[in-house]
Amino acid sequence: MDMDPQELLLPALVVATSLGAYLIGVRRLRLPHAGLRRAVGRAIETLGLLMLFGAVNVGLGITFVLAWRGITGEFLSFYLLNDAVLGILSLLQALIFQWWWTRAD
Amino acid sequence: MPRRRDVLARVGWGARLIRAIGGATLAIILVGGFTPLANVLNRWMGGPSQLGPAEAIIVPGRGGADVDEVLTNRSMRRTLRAIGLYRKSLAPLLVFSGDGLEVDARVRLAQGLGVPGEHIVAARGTNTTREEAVMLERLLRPRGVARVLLVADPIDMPRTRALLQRRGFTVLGAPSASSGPGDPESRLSLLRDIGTELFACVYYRLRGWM
Repeated sequence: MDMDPQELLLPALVVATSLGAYLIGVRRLRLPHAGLRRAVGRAIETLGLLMLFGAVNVGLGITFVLAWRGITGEFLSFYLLNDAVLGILSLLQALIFQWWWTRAD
Repeated sequence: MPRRRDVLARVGWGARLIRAIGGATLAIILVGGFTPLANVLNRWMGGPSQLGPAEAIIVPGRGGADVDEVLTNRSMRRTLRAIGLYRKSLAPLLVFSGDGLEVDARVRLAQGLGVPGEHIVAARGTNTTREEAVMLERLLRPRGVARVLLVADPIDMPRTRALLQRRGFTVLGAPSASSGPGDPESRLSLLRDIGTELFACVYYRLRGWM
């Protein structure tokens, strides 16, 4: 149950590339520091929107499955909704909505 | 102007809520992926392994079979574990339930590994855990089976066990894959499955099925 030290590889990669991106942003592109905090906030908002879109999609899916079973009498599994593709599509919805929202600010 | 301010205030409140949800999501991803949380929950849901003599070994469906009639990973693991327990003579009957393709693939596998056909019970044509419990009662009661060894993934144990107990079976748990996965992606996937199973438990309770 102890954590394998090899699992630190992924976080280490992300930290290293984030640091590289930060340096490029500050030195080459001359991006303001203040914008970084706002960008982190936006990213977290996108995650929140992802969860909201995911919850609504799953909720609507459950309603559809129950209605389908009730109306047709045929079996439709709830497990159809437990698919990573729905998560990817929800992320796409969140990104589009986020961009739309940001432009309206 | 005041009206516009109200709108902006509402949007600001909404943005804070969305950020809170996003922050919680990020925390769950980091904790779920890089700590043993999912594995701990997995083991807790599975409960203790209670390997002992029984009258039948029950293997509920899990994930079915692919279109080429090969069992999915989880279904295969359960089946092999159950065959291992049968070979240890913990029960004289091996019972496979689930949809037709999955059950047929399991029966072929068990027979291929030397389990005699007369020691296999095929409970075909069930789509849900509740339907499985109903069919298992119908098939096993006439054979005098009351004490069963349940082979299932740890996260499936609580609901399946409760349904079988409600039908009068004494259930001994034999969780498969109880230690859980060892990489971040699989742990997050397990965490999602745990969430799905907890939702299913709530749904079954609301329907009065367990």
